[in-house]
Amino acid sequence: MTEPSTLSLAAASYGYDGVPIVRDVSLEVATGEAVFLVGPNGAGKSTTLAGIFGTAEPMGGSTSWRGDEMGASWGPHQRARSGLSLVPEGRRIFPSIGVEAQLRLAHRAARRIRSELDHDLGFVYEIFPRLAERRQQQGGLLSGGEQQMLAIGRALMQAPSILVVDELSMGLAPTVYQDVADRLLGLLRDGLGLLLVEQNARLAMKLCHRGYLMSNGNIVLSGTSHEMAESGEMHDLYLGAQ
Amino acid sequence: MTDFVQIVLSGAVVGVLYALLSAAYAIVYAGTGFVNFSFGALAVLAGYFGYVAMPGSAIESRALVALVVVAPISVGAWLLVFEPIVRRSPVAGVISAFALAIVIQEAVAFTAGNVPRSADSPFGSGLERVGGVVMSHHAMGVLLVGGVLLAATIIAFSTRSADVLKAVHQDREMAMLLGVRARRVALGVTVCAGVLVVVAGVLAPPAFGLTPYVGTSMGLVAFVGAVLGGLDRVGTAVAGSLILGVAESLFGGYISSDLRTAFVFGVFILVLIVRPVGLFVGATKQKV
Repeated sequence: MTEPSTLSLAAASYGYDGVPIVRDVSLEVATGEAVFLVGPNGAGKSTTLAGIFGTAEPMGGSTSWRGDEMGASWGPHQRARSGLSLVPEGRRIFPSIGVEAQLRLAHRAARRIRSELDHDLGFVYEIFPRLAERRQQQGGLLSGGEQQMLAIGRALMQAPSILVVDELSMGLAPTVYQDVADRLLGLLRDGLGLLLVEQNARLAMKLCHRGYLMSNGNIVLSGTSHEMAESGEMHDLYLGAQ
Repeated sequence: MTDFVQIVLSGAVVGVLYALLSAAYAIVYAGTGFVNFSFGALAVLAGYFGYVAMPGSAIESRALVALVVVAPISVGAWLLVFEPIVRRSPVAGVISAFALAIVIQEAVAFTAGNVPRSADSPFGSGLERVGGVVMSHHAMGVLLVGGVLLAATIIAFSTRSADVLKAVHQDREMAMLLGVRARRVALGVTVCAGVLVVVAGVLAPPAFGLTPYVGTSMGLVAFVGAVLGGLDRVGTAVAGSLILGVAESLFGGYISSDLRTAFVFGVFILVLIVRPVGLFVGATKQKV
């Protein structure tokens, strides 16, 4: 196994239109590990992700990937092509593009090698046989769960080094969720890094070894799932409030 | 019967000229979500470079000058004017395109004079008779050159590249998150549209005449045609303009030549009421 690559945020702040939304966020995700980021609605999780992917403005601190600082000049497309893929909140499926066409588009847009297209398609269809059945269907006509499968499949087509999933459980039936989660965790052995962003902390802690708790635009706690589950702060701030 | 064929043929020629602009509207709309109403005026500007600016030189070199002057103006207008405005407000972008069209048209009128100019066809002034049907060499040239260019545009913007355009159109940020260079896509469609506009501008004057103001109606009718067929795909936009050209010609030939323009815009209103997404766009298609 090669040396893991690391996505690293060090005291990073992000925001929009000159107004910071999250401040001094420090977190790390390496290839080969699964890390969670949990926190109540409005804690700043999605803005942090937007900072990682270059759609929110960097406002201080450092955002680096494989040791390279990703400044404002690193556009979202560059980040996608360097091995960072996102399953966004709300799935953001293109409504009038077919299922397979969206998978192909994701493959091509990330500058993946053309000759691997069929292999990668087969891989996604094997994980989500449902998508294979719907391959000609337009994205807008899929059910919520199918759209979530497509959003995950679209990201996997890019063969990411770090896959960031904003609400994995969203729209998936519990049995499908468990299956998808197991498949993604299985990819860790092949060197995938996972950052799972969840409102449901219990689900996230079950899947990941360690993680972070966000509240009011800050990271307020970090540690292993075990430590965090035991922590009084986690209960007071978050679990108890659910 | 011969009359009918003659009228349909001349309608097809007019339709191809509209369709060149419709295709330009459609690819730019698909790639940027913006309807660039300056195309009619830019086509006229190309027409002035093709027929007025350099009397005496060969039509090939005049057409080439039209291309190398007007296409970059169109691209420059996108980069310097429209892109920054459209990013903030698509509606303001459309208004700014109308404003630029008026600026260009007045600049042409000021420089070249507001008088109709003659434009000799680059294909010569000959006529061919087949049965009872008469076709000018210009008409045949328009059908051939325009037809080839439209077919090439439709092919170039079908399948794979059409999906990229749709993705940018439907969710620009998501497309970028997947690795699509949205600004480059917008620039690409603007360059292609610039070529279509210049070709329309050089082919149209022998058929429509050349005044500084002819672009306004040509640009609007081409937009009507594009919406008639469906603005978000090149093929449908082109088909809409061809149908509109033939329908306009039939109306002018059999009902009233004076009311042709009223007919075109009457059709437009009707389409907007009955099928606002266009005649050829599937009912399942969703708009975001």
